[in-house]
Amino acid sequence: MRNLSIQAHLFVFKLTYLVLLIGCFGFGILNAQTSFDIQAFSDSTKYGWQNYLDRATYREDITNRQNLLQLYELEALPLRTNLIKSAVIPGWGQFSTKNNSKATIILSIELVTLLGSLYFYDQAMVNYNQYKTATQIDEINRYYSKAQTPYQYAIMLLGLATVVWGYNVFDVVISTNEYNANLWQDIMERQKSSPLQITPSGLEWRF
Amino acid sequence: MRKILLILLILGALLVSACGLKRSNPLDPVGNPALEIPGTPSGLRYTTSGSGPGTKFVNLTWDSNSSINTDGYYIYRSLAYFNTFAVVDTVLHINGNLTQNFIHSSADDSTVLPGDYWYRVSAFKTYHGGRLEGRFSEPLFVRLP
Repeated sequence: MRNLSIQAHLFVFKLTYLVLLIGCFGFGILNAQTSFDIQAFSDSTKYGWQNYLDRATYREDITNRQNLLQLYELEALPLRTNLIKSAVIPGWGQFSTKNNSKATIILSIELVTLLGSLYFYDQAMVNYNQYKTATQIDEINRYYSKAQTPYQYAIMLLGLATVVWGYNVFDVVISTNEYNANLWQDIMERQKSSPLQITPSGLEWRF
Repeated sequence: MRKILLILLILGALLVSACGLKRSNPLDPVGNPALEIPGTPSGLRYTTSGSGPGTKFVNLTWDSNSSINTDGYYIYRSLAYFNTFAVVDTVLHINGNLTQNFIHSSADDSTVLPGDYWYRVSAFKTYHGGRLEGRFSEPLFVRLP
């Protein structure tokens, strides 16, 4: 008798669970169908075109922009590469961004300061070696003074070279960003002005 | 931008002021304050051998330095005031004497001949790094007949 009662309760419970489950699914499906707006989905004017001609023009414009973007990606200078170039040889990155005057000035200053620093360091070491072996008090003082002055020039020039190198690295970031920003404008101009176009897929002649 | 430039200038000044050459000479009194600089010999005077045949010599005498900073003396000679002076001999300092003495004789050195010479003297003190030589005395003109 008791087992029968348990089975009845279990059956009622299962039935309730099934009804609730079906109810949830049914409500979801009905609700989904009512909220989906098929007319809004199929409305072609939402993208800005009013007819098929507009749509075709729009598509052509997108295709052109994609081509230009590919061209931009081909011609744009990667910042990291330019940074490494300028870090290795100051001014190299600026040469790549077509800032030839600035690049020449940076490279020249860097060469002059480094070579000057090397020259004064060499002078300092000649006197410093004599200082190290001197035994007479006047000679000790004289050679030390003669070594100290060119050594300070060498350090100053090395400091200047470091400052110029730092500026060069800082400048190449700005130069590269400017170059890439102008490049897009330049590509657009070229595209408009010339009937002969360079595209990622090759040359194209427009009539 | 100005702040960056200012920082760079300060860094540069620090770099320059911090980077002096090391006083690595073991005989440099600036790098080794324990070293005593030998005093400059003073009161240098001379007598010479007479004219005529025989041994020629120049007898140099000068006032004694303090034995605290002097172990000996270098004797230099030159043919002119501005010429290079060459060491002719080394004399050890004799404690207790008021004057020190050196005889430059043709008996020991064949270059001692009649003529005009310039002599000067400097003191030295021996340290573990070598001999630290002090300043030179004023050159003394000597005419050897």
